Amino acid sequence: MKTPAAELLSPATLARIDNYSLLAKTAVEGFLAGLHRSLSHGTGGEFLQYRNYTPGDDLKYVDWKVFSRQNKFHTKVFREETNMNLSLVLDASASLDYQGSRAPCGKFRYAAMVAASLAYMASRQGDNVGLFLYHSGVVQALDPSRSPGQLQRIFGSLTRQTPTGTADHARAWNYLTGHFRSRGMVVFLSDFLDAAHTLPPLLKRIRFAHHDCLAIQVLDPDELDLPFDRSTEFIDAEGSGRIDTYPASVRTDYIRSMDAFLADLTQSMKQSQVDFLRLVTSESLAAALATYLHKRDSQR
Amino acid sequence: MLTFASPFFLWGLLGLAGPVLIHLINRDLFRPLVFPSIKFILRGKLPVERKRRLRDWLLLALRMLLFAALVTALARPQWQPESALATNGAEEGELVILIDASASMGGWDVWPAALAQAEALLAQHQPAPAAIVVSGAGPVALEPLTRDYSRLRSFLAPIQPQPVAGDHRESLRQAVRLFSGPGPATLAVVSDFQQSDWSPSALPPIDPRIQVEWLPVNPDRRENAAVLQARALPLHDGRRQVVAEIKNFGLEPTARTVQLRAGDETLSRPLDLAPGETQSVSFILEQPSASQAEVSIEADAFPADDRYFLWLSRPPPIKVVIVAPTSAEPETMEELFFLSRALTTRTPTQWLHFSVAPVEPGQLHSDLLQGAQAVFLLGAAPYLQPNEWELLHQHLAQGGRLLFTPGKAPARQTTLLADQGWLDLSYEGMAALDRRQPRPHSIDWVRPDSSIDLLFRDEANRSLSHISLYQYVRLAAPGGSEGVLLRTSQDDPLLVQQAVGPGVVFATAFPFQTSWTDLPVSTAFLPIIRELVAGDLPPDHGIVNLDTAPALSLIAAHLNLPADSAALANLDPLTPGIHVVAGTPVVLNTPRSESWPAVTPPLDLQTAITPPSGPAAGTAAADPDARISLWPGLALAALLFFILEMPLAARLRRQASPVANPQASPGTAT
Repeated sequence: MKTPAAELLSPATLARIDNYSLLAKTAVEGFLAGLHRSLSHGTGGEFLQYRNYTPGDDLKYVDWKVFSRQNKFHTKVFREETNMNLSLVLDASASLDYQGSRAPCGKFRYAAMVAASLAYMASRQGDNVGLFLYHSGVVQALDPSRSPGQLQRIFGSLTRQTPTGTADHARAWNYLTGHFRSRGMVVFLSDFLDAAHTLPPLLKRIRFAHHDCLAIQVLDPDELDLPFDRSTEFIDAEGSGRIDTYPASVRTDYIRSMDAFLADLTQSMKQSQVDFLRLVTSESLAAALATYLHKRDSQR
Repeated sequence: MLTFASPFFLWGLLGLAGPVLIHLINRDLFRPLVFPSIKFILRGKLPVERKRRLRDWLLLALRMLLFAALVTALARPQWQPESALATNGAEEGELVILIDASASMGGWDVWPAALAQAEALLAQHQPAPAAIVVSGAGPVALEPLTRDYSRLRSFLAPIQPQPVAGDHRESLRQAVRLFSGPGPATLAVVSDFQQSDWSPSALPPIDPRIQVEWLPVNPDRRENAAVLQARALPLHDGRRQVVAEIKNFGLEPTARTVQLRAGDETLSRPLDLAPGETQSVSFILEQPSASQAEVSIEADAFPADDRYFLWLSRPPPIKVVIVAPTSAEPETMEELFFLSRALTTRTPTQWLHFSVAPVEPGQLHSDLLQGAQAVFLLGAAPYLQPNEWELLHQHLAQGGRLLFTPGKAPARQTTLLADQGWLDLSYEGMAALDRRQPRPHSIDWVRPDSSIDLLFRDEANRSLSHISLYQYVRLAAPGGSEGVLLRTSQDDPLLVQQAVGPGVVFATAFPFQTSWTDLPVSTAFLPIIRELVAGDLPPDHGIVNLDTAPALSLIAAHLNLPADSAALANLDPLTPGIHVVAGTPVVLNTPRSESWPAVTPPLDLQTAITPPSGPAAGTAAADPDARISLWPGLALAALLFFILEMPLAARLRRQASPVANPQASPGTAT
């Protein structure tokens, strides 16, 4: 029995796959199958392969010669010729090293799964893919490329990286802004904590450099509602202190503050003309992939 | 009054402290958690929501009540209505202390320890009513319930252990009777629980209402040797042999010197004794002048068993009364002669000797029979007066022996004996010599394993068969042949016996006359006669060897004297030594059973005094039907608490679960 596509995109399923290559393939194929959409990669350019005809396919791509021989419809698939660059930027600071009781994986792992899936999808569509990781400074920089081993290098970097340190967004983005030469798309994955006012201006500079920018915020469900019921000593992951409290007594205030922060962040992103997507680690990856495809289609 | 059948379960109530402590500790314990950002987290205290706090405590209280109800139900509480209890007693507890003052408490410094134990009990119980019972061989002294503790202490101070074997049955009964109220009653028994004194089977059952505390003051018996016993034996040439048994009860080897003192003569023997070993020591006294002797060893931790007194001389003679109608039947003179000779002949190596008192029928009286071991009636039955028959019955009742020989009227005698209910015999005529074959009759059969058979088992059977019988009375025993000791070749009984109470009646088929038999002139005559008179008597018969006793009456009973007899005036029953009372040597020694180190476990004693179907200790006493068992109610209460606890706990769990955040909308893009 085939696994349902929704389940293939579930973080609970993907988190069990150690190999990012397999993980990304599973997510992307599952996602595309769920869309019921032709795998048309473009109409012009180099012939790639045949595939079975799917109702809705443009009849002009049906190979009639093959039909005359086999009495079956086959659609021609071409490799689309493009020079689009996809740069994946991941915040690898310690605040992403958190996994609540309701999430199947940690925040960084979730962000890495999203990044891997996007990289696979982009690579499959012939785009150049690059990866940049940073926390207090840039720790990994793989410029966008279509070279054969690029995807494996990206996956390897994601595998090796563990979230640590304090995020220095300004420093990292100063470097990255100067680094992105040709036009393309920048996908930035972070939790955006403590950066509601610093990150949007930085990302706005990317937009000014004629890059499309998609900002994806990754949060754990615990960060939204502070569900703890015991007396707890909260220790800041990035070392900005600790606090003893009884969560039940401060939960309402926390939720109110968090909502205000998220609304403020959303508004800032909007003002910076940066597409913003919020993902919770217990949710499916489908939203991230759909948003990416949507943006790419609009660029085409 | 609330009582518990299994009160030890109540210790489980201590477990109630656990949930409270956990509850209090958990409330103040902060669990560390690394969180992505604490920017929006405020410092907070425990929730001040009153409803929630109230629910917390309510849940804790419910769980504690559930636990307490279960534990209390296991303790099986019972309610005794006040009306069912007697109303004349005080509510406070009563204490009776029973102190063992038997001989074993006098050694190894046990007595001071026992007094200290009693003092500690009094100090602990003051000012509630208390009583003291001192127990030796029965209750020695007692002080009834009082609140005057100085009186109890002054009562106890002069008391010392007695040199007697302990017997605490009556003391326990009296101690139990001292309790007057229905309230808590405690009987504290302070003793070394020496095994010979505390036999569980001998203890009376005690009301389970009374809590009995067994408080052992066990001595360290590592060092004790004892003279277990000593006896004197006659030798040829007037010498005496004294054999003493010495036992080492200790756990270490010991070297002792055994000393025999008899008048001016003192003999000693060194002795090495291994742990638990018993050795016999023999002394020879050449022509002893003293009639008393003492065997001793060096005094040790228990000096009461280091001396042993013994009577050295020959015991008084055994009295035999011979009733012979010599006037009416002169032939009995010959019988009297042979009997007197056989009984009065002394043997140098035997203690037993006899004195003979011959009388005519009609002259028997109680004074004459006083102390007599046997009465021989030589054809005298037809001549006895009714009062004399009564005296003979009394003689048998005191364990005496009667022996009848036939006279001129054997048929009449047989009838008379049957009338007395003694020997169910019938007269069958006379058996005389056969004219055609004038061979005398003989004794052809001896009852196997009878005392006579044992006496002649080796060569004497042959000597018995050589004894000739020229004539005898043919008797028939219709009741069977159980009492027949000797028979002729014609299977006719020659000697018949019958036990009558503690006494024994013998009858022969022939008189001890040479015209009837040559038995009187044979060597078998003396042992047969002595066996019939004193077959079951010990070698030192006539010497009264007794343990020191708490009362003169016990000694008087052994001597068949009234307790207030003047002969006992100078006798102290508690002092070991030798006394001569009415011509009878009375030797008193401390009971050696007190020397044995074995003790009875208090658990066995507790089991012995617990009635088989009685309630457990600590339960109310007065009316068992009036008690109400409370455990079913408690079990129901526990069930109710459990039912209430479940929904409350579930509700709290639901409230403790995370609150959904309706404002956060993950997964939406802008």
